[in-house]
This record gives sequence, C-alpha cells and structure tokens, in this order.
Amino acid sequence: MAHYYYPLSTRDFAFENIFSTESVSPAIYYPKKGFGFDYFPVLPGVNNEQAIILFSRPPVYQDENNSKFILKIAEAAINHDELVFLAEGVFAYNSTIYFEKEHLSVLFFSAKELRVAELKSNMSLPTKAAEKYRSSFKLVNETECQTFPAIDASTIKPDHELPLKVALDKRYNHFKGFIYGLVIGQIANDRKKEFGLKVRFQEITNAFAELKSRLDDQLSTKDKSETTRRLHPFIDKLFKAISFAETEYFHLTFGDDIGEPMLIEYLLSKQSRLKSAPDVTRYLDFIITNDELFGSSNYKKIVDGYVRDRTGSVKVFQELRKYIEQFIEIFEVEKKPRYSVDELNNRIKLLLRNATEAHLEQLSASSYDLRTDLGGIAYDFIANEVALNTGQVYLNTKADNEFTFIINAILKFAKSNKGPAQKEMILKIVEEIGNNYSKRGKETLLYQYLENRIDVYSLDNASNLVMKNFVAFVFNPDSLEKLDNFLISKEVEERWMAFSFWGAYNGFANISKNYTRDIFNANNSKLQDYIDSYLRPYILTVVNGKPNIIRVEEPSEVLNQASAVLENTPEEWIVNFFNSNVANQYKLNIDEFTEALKLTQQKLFQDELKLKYQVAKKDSLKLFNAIRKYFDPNALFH
Amino acid sequence: MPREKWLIDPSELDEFQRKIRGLSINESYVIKGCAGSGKTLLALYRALDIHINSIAEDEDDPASFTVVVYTKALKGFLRSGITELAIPIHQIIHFQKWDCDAVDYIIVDEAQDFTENEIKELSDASIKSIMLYGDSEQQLYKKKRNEKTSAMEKTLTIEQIAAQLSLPQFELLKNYRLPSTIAALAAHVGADKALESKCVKIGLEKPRLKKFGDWKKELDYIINEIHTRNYTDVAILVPFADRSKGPQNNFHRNIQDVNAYLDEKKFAHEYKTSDFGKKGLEIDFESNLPKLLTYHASKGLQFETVFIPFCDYPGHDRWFIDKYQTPLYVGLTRSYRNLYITHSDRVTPFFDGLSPSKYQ
Repeated sequence: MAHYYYPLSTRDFAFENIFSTESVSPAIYYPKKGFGFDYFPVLPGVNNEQAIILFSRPPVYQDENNSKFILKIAEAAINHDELVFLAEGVFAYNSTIYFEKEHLSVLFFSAKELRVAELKSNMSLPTKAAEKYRSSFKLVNETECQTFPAIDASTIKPDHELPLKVALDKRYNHFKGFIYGLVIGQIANDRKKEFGLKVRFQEITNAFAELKSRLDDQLSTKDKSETTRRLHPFIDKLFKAISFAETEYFHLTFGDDIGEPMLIEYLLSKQSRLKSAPDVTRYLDFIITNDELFGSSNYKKIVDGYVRDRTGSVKVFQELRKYIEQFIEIFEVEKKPRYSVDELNNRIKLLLRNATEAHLEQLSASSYDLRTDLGGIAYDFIANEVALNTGQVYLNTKADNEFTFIINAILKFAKSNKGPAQKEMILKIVEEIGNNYSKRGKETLLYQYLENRIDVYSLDNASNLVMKNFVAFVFNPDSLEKLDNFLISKEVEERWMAFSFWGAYNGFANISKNYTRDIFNANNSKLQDYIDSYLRPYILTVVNGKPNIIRVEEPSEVLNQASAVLENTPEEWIVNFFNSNVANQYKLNIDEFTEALKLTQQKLFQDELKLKYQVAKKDSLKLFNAIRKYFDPNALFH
Repeated sequence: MPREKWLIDPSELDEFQRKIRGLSINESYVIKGCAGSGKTLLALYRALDIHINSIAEDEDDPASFTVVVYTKALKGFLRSGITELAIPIHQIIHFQKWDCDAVDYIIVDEAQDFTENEIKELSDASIKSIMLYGDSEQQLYKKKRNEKTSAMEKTLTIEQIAAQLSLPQFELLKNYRLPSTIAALAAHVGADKALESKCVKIGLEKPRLKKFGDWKKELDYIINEIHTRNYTDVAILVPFADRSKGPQNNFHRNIQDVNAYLDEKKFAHEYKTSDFGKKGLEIDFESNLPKLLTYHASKGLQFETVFIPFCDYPGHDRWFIDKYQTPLYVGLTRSYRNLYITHSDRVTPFFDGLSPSKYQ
C-alpha cells in the first residue's frame, strides 16, 4: 500500500491537537471550526496554511526548538479527488484526514522525543486518542528522509468548498461526540460499583480535610475533654469512611455476599470461647436480636472485622489507619512524633492517590462489552438529526422518543465557541424541550431557575429519568467530571443519557481523556474496532460524499445574517405580506411573524411554527414557499 | 489520572501563553504576571516538563529540581497539583525548609517576596537553569527578615530580579482566570478600573446578587445552592476570623459563627481561621468540600464558585468601607466561573452606583 507523509513538529501542541480529534486538517480550518484547538502550526518550507502538504517519502525539514514527527498516512485514508499535484512527490490536500488505526503511523526521530511527546500529551485534557495509536508510533532515521523541492505557495489556491468541508467536520464532531458519550456513559453506568470505590476514596479525603480543619483549630482550646467531644464526630466519620471504602473494596474483590458460613469460620478462628458452628450461629442470632432491641450495631462491627481480616493483605487500608492515628496523636498527645505533620499528610495523600490510580488502572485493563447495538442509530447529515430504532437504548418508546428529541435539540444548538458553554444556547435547548414536553411551555421551573427568577430547584421536579439526565447535563455542560460527580451524588440512574447529551453538545474533540481511557486501552481493542467500523461510513460521507449542508448553518449564524437582511427590507413589504398571507390564517401576530422570518432554513422555520404556534407542517411549508417567492430570495435566503 | 482542573487544555491557550510554554527547560528567565494570569500553573507545568524530560532521558537517574514557594497556602495548592501530576512530592519546598543544595533546575514562585540575597542564593544553587515567576504589584513587603540569617533585607521587584540575574523577562498582561462578567462588578469595588479589559474569558453568566430575610437564610441559600448544583470547588468568604475581630456590628460575619451554623446544619466543609496553622496545616485542595475562609486568606487562591454573604449595611459601615475595600476586592476576584453575593439588609455601599447590568 502506498503512503503519504505529513511532516509536523510538537510546536504549538500539534501532537495534542491531532489526537484530540483523531484527525488533521489544513491549518486554515482550525480558527473556523468552532471546536477543539483554534490554531495549528505551519512549518516554513514543508507546510502550508491552505492545504495539507503530503510527500511521497519522509521529507528533510527542520524545527530546531521542537521535536519533529511525521504522519505516515495510507492512501486508503485519502480522497484522491482532493489531491493537487505540486511537484514530483509533493501534493496539496484540501480536506481533513480522519485517522484509522490501520491507516496511520506516527514517525519520531528518537525514542526520547517519542516518550516526551507521549508523556506531555498525557497531561493534555482533550488529547485522548494517542493511547489508541500507541502501537503505530515508530522511529524514523534522518537518513531515510529525502529532500524535495521548495513549495511554491502561489500554486495552492484557496478552496471554494472550505465552508462546506468545515461545516461537515463540525457536524461529524458532534455526532461522534454523541456516540462516544453514549459509550462512555454506558461504561460508567454498568461499572458504577467499580467506579464507586473512587468516590469512597474521595470521601476519605473529604473526611480527612474536615478533621484537619478542626484539629488545628482546637489547639487553642484549653479544655481537653471539650476538644475530644468536639472532635469525636469528625474522627468517627473519617474511620467510617475508611471502613466503607474497605467494605466496598471487599465486595469488588471477593464478591457481594458476606454470608453466615464466612462469619462462622472467621469467628471460630478469632473467639476461643466459640467452639462450634452452632455456637457461632446462636451467638450471631443473639447479636442481631440485641442490635434490633437496643439500636446497637455490633453485627456490622463483626462484618467489618471480617472484611478487615480478609483485606489484611491490602496495605492501603492498614496504612491509612496507622498514619491517621499517628496524625491525630500529634494533636492530642504532647509527645515527639515519629513523622512530622507535613510528612504524615504527604503519606496519607499519596496512599489515597496511588490507591485510586491503581484501582482505575485495573478497571481500564478489563475489557467491556457494549450493550447497545450502534447499528440501530442513524445520523442524517443534512437534517443534523439522529434516529434511533425503538427500544434501541433499553427504554420504552416514550422515553426513547424523548431521548432522541433532546439529542436532536442539542445537536441543533451544539457548542461552537471556545471556553464555557454560552448560557443563551443552554437556555435555547431548555426552552425547546420545555415547549415540547411541558405544560408550562418554555416557562419550566428549570428555565426560571436558570434565569435566576426562582431560588430553589429540585431534581425531583424532573418528570422522569430522561429529564433528570437532561437536568444533570444542563447543570454541568462544561465538564464531564462534574457531570459524573453530579450523577453519582444525586444517584441518577441510566446516566449514559446525560453523557450522550454532553457528548452531543461538546463534540468528540472536547471529551476529556479521563473518560475515554477505558475505550482506548489496548485491552479494549474489540470495542474500539466496533466503534470505528460503525463510524467509518460517516467518515466516508464527510470525506467523499460531502452532502450539501451549507444552507443548514448554525441557528445563531442564520439568525444574525437574516436579521441583517431584514433590517434592509422595507417594513411595509413585511406588513403587506402579513396582511394578505398570514393574518386570520395563522396564529401569529406581526411581531411573531417578523421573528419567524429570520428563520431562513425550511426545517427550522417549520419546527418553530409547529412548536410555538401549532401550525401544521404542510401549512408552514406553504407559507415558507410563499415567503421565498415574495421576498428577494438572494437576499434573505442563501 | 489527574482531575480535570489539573490537566491543561491547550486548546484554551492563546499565542502568548503558548510561547511561554514553549520555552526550553534549559533557558533561565523571569515571568511577570498580573493576578489571574496563571503564572502558578505555568510554574507547575514547568516542573512537569522538567520531570518528563528527565525521566525520558534516564528513568533511573533523573535530573534534580526544586520548586520553591514562599507562602504556605501556595505550597498547599501546588502540592495538590504536584501529587495529581505524579511529580515527586518532596520536590516542592517552602523556602524556610530549603537546604540550599545545588540542583539542576530551580523554579521559584512568588519571587517578589524573596530578598535580594535569597534570590542570589537560589540562583547560585541552580546548575542548569532557574525560572522565577511573580508579580511586583503583589509584593507584600519592601523589606523583610532573611529567613536564614535573620538580617533585615530589601526585597526586589520582578524587574529588579531580572536585571540582577541578567535574565530575559516575559510579561503576562492578561487575566486568564477571571471571567469578564465578574471583573465588571469587581472593578466597581477595586482600584483597577481596567480589570475587565484585561480579562480573556467572557464568562458563563453575570454574578448573582440576592437578598434574603436574615443572615441564616443567606447561609441556607448557599447550602441549598451547593447541594442543588453539586458544586465541588467552592469558597465561602467572610470578612473576619472570629467575633473578636472587627467592630461589634460584625457579629456573625466571621468564620467562627458561620462554621458553627454550618456544623449545626450538618453541612460538611473545611475552614481556616487566622489562628489556623499552628501545626503547619493548610487548606486541603484534594478535598472537594466547600472552604470557609476570610477574604484575606483567599489571596492567591482560585475557586470555581465563590459565595460572599453578608454584603450589607450597616455591617459595611464607614469603618468597614475604609478597611475592607481591598480584601473584598480580593474575594470578588477569586472565582473562575460563578460568583454569588448575598445580603439581608440594604446592599453594601460598595455597590453604590453599580449598574444593574453588571449582575443578575
């Protein structure tokens, strides 16, 4: 198979950039895309702003202050219609190249440079796919590189299809974000017990922090018994948090049930006065009865003791207790401690961090079988909508429809700016969902709360699971981690829905690497291959089919452009048209009609009239066509 | 994997930040940056670059480096980042405990707080390069006692440090942390009226200004809002550490009373009073509990969400206005996303003339 070579360097985070999207585009695309990085370096002599310059062999080039690397791209990943011959072995390519494992290698000039690029990209939030291509990172020798003639930039013409190609890349990014959100969400949902341990470790950190606040403060209190009384609940809370984590660890490691047979064996080995299994059974019955009568928790203490005994080989819990006891002693007893407060604090922190990390590593290393058949999900580039086969995602028809409606509303108002989500766009989505599913219409409690018109909002206000997941997304549109924490804290079920909403809104490029590591881990290549094979036809559509979506621009852009045109349209034209074609026929007043005129896409126009004024689609189409005829189509419609 | 707040998002960096991130680890230089310019994170990532290059070179014999800081709060903050980024934790040192050993690389944060001789000692101890980060505007003392010799010595501005060590100086002029929506309100209180124009972030929404029946209702609202939104990076800022501080009418506007009320409501939180720190403990940035602090104690720190309750007259009387303009300004500028201001009486005179367009 023939290959093309694209010379790059680590300048301006190019490595992090391409593996945040699994693609590379001509540099001119980046400031226009509205997603991911809005810049891309251009190396003098071998790169160009307008197009990707491809070479038939690794070229000789320099970038003194950065590490060089070359993308080796199989010709199967290239649309030959987009290749423009520049010189012998040198081509301009006017399109985005989407990566696939079998079509890409990354060539570095030294093992150290490869390692540094990898390690640095590990600390870049959106750079998730490097792990997936790890086995394709290779070394290349300078002697294998060939000198090519200098590029004559004047021969590379601006691409008149650029707006369409950028718009398609953008749509694909959000659709891919939805698919990855769905998969990440299903993993999070199905492994919530396993991920729960991470939460338990965080609870230990929190309880430790809470206690530390009080410990230092209490030093000024002279009455030691009062100090102990005040501190006791916090010390107790911390040790309970450790026991809780330990029990959860036990369940994950040894299975769910701690039955009587296990406790019998344990108590026989620990309590010499218990001589036989019936002795232990009677003893346990006595303990349970006492607990019920007096509200004690001695049975739980026995279970905790058993858990501790079994997990004794797991040093983290033993050491945590030991260090925390030493830590508290420093404050309670005036004696010279073995370790300083700072040292103990460091040791406790490192234990917790390493335990969390080891647990998550273990999780990533296990393979995962997706329970959704992605084949039942279809995406229409022109309508910018997904359609799901009924029952596809394990919901009933009503919920499936709600889920699909929300996804499509989000795709319609998907994020297209740097930085945090724009509140107006989130409100638009909330408004759209309210108009369709709430008796209050746009004025849902959620909408009022977001608008700061009411002080209190409860998740219980959401009518069902789909809407609870939607609210979770609305509260956390910028960070998957925050969304995840929210869903765990509020115990929202079927959380894959919220992850799907987030993915559709933010797009694949913005997804944090912390949430894709299970997918891109080498042990999950089956899942990766499955997602890749599902997405392949859509990549081919973007690269080769190029459906003409250019008229279907972002709602905000359409509004701005149409508003500008409307300003120049004589008001009497609008009034005349309204009087003869709209008044007494549709439930719109003149102001509402003028607003609707800004919607220059047929579908948006129809949707809006259906949602707001209950105009049937066939009637709104008639009206839409009449408007097109009456007003200058070149001015208002484009 | 580090939590999201400790991972950089290169897609958010501008050209100038990228240029500074792109400097070689073997170059010595001085970075001057205004409040919120992200110089502490740049220092942290410089440490990471050194660590990465060093282990890629020779995992068994990595280069030596030390990050030296001057304030304990900053050390706590950086330690949290260093732990999450898996950089060896003992390489961040408070200057008091620095042993003057020569190392390959030295990174100094808050360089403006060190004396002339201390800077020289640090420079002499670096074998390959030294990187210093700071802001002359945030210099605490013109003269201070040398931590090692106890002699009174003058401190240096960032410009003077660059000149003394003959190092190139780069300046971060923009505020990357503070959203302009918050800056617009904070500028009304603070002296820097151009603050908004320095901010790069537009901001999700305007600060919220809310009135309640009494101070407890303000705190109830804060508790409820933290629960409802599940905020995990929060500060609640009050003017005083305890009742003995400030005038009598500042009852309840202190850590002591607010802490007691939050405990009564069984609302988990951390707090820090002025007496805090006898054993050297600092705020724990690995915890995701709300942190109850004084305005003063929040200096140099950043939070996703900041609540500032009790912003009302007569609490904010003449005495308060005279003494607390800068501390309140510090508090108002700690958030990188959400700011809530509450009051239960006539709103603070600090907001006299504030346009309603600056808040919601």
